[in-house]
Amino acid sequence: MTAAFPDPVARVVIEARSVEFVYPSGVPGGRPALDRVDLTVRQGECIAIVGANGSGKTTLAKLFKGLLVPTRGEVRIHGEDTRRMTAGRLAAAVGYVFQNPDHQIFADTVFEEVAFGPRNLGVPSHDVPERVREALEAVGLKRPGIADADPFSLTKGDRQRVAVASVLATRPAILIFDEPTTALDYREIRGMMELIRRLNQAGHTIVMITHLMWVAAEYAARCVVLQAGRVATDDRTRAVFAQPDRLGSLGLRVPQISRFTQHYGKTLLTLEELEACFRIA
Amino acid sequence: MELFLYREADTVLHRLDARTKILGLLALFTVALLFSQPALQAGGLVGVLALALLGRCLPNLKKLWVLLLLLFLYCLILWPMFVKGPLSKTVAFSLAMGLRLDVMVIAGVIVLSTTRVEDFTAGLQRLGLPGPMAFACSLAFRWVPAFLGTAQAVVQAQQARGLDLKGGNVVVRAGRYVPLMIPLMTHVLRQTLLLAMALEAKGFDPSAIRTRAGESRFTAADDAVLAGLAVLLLLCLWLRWNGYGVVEGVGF
Repeated sequence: MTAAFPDPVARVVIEARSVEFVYPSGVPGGRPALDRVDLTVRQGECIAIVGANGSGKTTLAKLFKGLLVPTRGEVRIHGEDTRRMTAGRLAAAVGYVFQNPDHQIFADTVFEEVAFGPRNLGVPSHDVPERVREALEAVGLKRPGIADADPFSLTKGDRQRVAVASVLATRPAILIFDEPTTALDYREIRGMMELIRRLNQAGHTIVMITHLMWVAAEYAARCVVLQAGRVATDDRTRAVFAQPDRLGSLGLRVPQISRFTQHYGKTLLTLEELEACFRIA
Repeated sequence: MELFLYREADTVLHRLDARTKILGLLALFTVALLFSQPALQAGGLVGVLALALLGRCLPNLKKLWVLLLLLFLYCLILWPMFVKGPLSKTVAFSLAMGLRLDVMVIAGVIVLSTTRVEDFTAGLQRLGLPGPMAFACSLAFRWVPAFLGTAQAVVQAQQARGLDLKGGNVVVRAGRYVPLMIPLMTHVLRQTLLLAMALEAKGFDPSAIRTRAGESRFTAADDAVLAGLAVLLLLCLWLRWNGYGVVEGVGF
């Protein structure tokens, strides 16, 4: 079941206005990584950003987090220009889960790793354990002794969860996931995506980059397709997936279930939806 | 960030054999180290700048101008503290030392701007450097961009969690680098092990004799440059032997 499309009058939390971004090492005269991107994200949305490699997905996500600043145009978080926000303010407003958890894990224990963010934000020390407990619980790391475990000894899936927990501990309202399913097995992918769904249902706004079209179909209500630094399509996931030829021309392929049902004039996104149709029939 | 200095162009310097350029670099280093008179070092600076113009590497020097200026200023400020003698002479000596470092750095930049990494390491090997050492050299060149790429990812990951590297005293600031160094080192060690396995899987033996496609040969230009460098080196050695080109009255 896909997440509900958000209320069109919900508050705008991220706004990109005519954003252009050129990497300093980019080819002189070459195309910018992002070109005139206009995008609005409303509170409570769950958005998948898809597109071929090099289309600008990660660049856009990093601009949303303020890790990069636009060459032209502006990105506003809760109405404030990211150029004017400090690292602390950005960390509290937007959480960013990187593709590789090993790029951030450094502490001896899971507790210390998760406590890193809140401590950086100046959370009083007596409140930190509660934040860590809450974050670990949210990501499903509840087994006894986990807080004292060495994060490097955990499986990739669990390390990814530690990374998510360490971001959640700063309590950001917006969460960005850069390919959260990379190098995970099927069970771990399911676990991670169910976690993202729960976070969305708990009120977090979710922006996730993915190459897995079935993940976008199943978990995101809205789908933004990037191509060569521009927004090629931005609509409800079902509407986007209803144009397989258009997606094909962008180097993407809709999931089998959608292609199959399109033969019968409908675009279904998941097996559960198809089953529901059969039951009604 | 552009990490390799090499700039594609078709100039006399680009066409020279890598061995000629490596030997030329050694010759220029020797000449620079022989003299301590600022006028001679200034002449050397003009010479290497002309070479940079010839090899179209001025944009690389432009990128490094802050480094060059800092090297020069540090020498100018620090050397007078360590050498004894009349002020005018210690200043002249320090000026020469600053110019000398810049001449040497610029000469190195010219070689790296006009020589591909593969050609450079092949040149080292053909000059007699043992295979494993030449291979380690090429790996070091290759790994710098990968290492910096990871470093950037790590910095962004920690900044995303509110790490602020600015502010605080030296101890506090050093402590803030721990969350950067540990993931970076772990990643580098993992990558090193993986690379060793990948090389082994391909049957790589660094000490084996290998051939190369498109092996370069000395041309008449290489012969002329090497002969010119030999004359320059001998002339400079003769001048230095006869006491020319040093600032008298400066000691440690």
